[in-house]
Amino acid sequence: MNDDLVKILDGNTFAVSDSRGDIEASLTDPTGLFSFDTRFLSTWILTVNGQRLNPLSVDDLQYFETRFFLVPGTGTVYVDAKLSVIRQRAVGNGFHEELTILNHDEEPVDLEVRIEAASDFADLFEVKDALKKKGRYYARVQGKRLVLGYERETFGRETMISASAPAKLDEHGLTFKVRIEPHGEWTTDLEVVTAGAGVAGRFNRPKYLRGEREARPNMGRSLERWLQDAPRLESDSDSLKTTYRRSLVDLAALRFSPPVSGGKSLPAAGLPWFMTMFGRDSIFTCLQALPFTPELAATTLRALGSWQGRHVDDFRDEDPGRILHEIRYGEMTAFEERPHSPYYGCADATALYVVLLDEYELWSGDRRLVRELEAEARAALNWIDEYADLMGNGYVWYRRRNEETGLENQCWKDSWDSISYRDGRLPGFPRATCELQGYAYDSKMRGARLAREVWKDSTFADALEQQAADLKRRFNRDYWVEDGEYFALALDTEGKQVDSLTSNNGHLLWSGIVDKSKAKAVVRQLMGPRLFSGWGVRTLAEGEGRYNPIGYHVGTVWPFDNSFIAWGLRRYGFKEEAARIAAGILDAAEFFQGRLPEAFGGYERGVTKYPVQYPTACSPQAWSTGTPLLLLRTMLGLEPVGDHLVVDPALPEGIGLLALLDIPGRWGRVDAFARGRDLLEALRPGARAARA
Amino acid sequence: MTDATTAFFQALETRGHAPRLERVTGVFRFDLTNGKRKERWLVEVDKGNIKVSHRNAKADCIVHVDKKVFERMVAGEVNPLVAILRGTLQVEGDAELLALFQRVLPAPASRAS
Repeated sequence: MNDDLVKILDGNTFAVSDSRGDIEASLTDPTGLFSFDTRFLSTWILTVNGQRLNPLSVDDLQYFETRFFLVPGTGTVYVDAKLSVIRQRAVGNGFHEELTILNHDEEPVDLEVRIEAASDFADLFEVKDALKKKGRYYARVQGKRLVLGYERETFGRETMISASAPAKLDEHGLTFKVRIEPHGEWTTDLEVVTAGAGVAGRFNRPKYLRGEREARPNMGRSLERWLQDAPRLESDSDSLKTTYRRSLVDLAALRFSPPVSGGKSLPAAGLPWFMTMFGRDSIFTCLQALPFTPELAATTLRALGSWQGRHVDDFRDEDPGRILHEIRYGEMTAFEERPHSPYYGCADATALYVVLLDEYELWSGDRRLVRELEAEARAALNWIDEYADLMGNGYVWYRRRNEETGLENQCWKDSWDSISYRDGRLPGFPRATCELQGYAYDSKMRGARLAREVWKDSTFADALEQQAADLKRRFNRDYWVEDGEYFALALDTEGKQVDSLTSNNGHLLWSGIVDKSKAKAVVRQLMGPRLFSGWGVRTLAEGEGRYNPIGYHVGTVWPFDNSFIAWGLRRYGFKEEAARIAAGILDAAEFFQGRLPEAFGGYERGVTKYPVQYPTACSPQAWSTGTPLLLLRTMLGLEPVGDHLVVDPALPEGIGLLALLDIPGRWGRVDAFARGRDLLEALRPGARAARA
Repeated sequence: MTDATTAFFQALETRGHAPRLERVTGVFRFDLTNGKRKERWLVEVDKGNIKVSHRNAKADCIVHVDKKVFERMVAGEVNPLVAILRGTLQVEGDAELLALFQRVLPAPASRAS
């Protein structure tokens, strides 16, 4: 996305405009007002006396609110600098815009103010893929409202536009005849209400039950409370404090109440394409944010549990027990031209679901939820053995059954060329990528703990532990690349290793599946020059056939990936290495004002000096937003042990002092402190050994 | 002659308990439209124990749907979320309950392998 675009959002409603506040979308262009995966405004253009306006500045007030300062005229030639125009816009259920014009002149002024409005009601999938519509459009003036609509059989979506000031309405917009006295001002409220999103006690035909008020958000207070409830960070690193605050605010913005989750919120994946419920992204983000906002995990576990797969359904790649990949609400989903109602084609979320449930209990002590979701967790564990072992050899495999619109790669590296041999060849299907085996191992170990301690089923616990031990033994034999001393990316159908060197090795450390004796070699690869760029660990190692420093999953550095690698390094005791990764990623965050992109280029740090953002990356994106949070956890070495929180810090160079206050958990609230090497050595040279 | 709707609810009542609904405690009301006629079914679920009646009671999740669509739904031919998005089914109240209720619906008729 173009960085000059101005984006505001509230849950899964968001508005993207240019710096004048105008929307002029084409089918392939992601500007507009979007809600529930549908574009409700594709044109929204303000003119004064037939002239477009010129932007002076944009104030981002909140993630859901922004203000545009404009003057008439275009380019650098101000036709009339005696007028100022202010558009203040907030998204809610649609958006609310307050339009104000100030006359700075000694003379009164007569103006024709015009808003052009139109909507193509594109499904987000259509915007992504540039597809044509099958239904019928209409526009009509209905009393004081302009209604733009689209219908296809029983499917209907409408946008209703109205103004508080007297206006002349036509099918293409609103016109105001305005006279402003010397040094006077004129103002109007514009309301844009979206209707027919069709779920959760809404309406299948627009009814405007709450009318104009619907467009007004009420997010300010909730954001304030969100920030107050989160732990407080103190540090001598201002950049870290900025990044932390940015992460909390963006995470608040990405909170989303799916119409199917009873009004509670969970993290959506990212703006603009992924403002929806995702299995994998939501789970990873919740894991990252657990020490900060544990309630997100509870909501996510419940919602994903409620939508757990029930049947074998090839169109949706659904199996009993499988955790969903993605839910969508647009037209193409409604007509089953896409399988997202919901779509289940991912091979990791099901094991990760059990991992999150256990990690959540370790932090929160909330055994009630673990009991409530016992059936779901058992069904998830059952899916691993009964439905995911496509080759019948004790590993998790994936192959889509929906050949037309299903996903080929059902792991987090889901682009077409992400899974390759060293020489660049792509394996056939099914594929058994290595991290899936790690997650399966971890889910069995954690499932065993829950079975023993909460469900009181030691037979099941024993069985799970035995399966896990067996999986670990076979995995360390079958995936280990002898000549390179790392784990292969995947196994192919012949049982041969897909032998390229990838960041997935870090996820294996995190899962605990790596034999202790092999950990050192794995760490050497992760921190070595082929994988570590200086900013972070590349998705694919330099020198592999498909390596490309700006290839989506074949060379870029993903902040989220690195946060889990750092956690993995900590799990095996490599504190200093974890701190180096934290430092690299947090340094990179500074270049993005604290908002880490989805991915940045895998170029050597010494060469580019700054991280090169991946061109079409989503931003903000949930698991990038969660990354600094998990890195704080790994730097402080936070680990729940029984009813206590153990703190075992290892700070990178550049951070002298780090304190996280009021960390919520089963212990109530506790503080964690860390002092870095730099500070200690400055105070007391040679005191390194005494460091906490 | 028992229609498909009655057969579905009677089967639920006969089961009395659905293990897949053990997480659920709540009252569902299905308001079915059959031409000009209305038909009401109340399903009370208490930790998986099911009672079916025509009573008028306060419900946590109210489903408004044409009877023909409902019968296709209980035959596995219509996906409830698709029906919602397409505007043929409306939910009032707690929609997550409907997600859970799907567990007692049969597998998709045409697509199961």
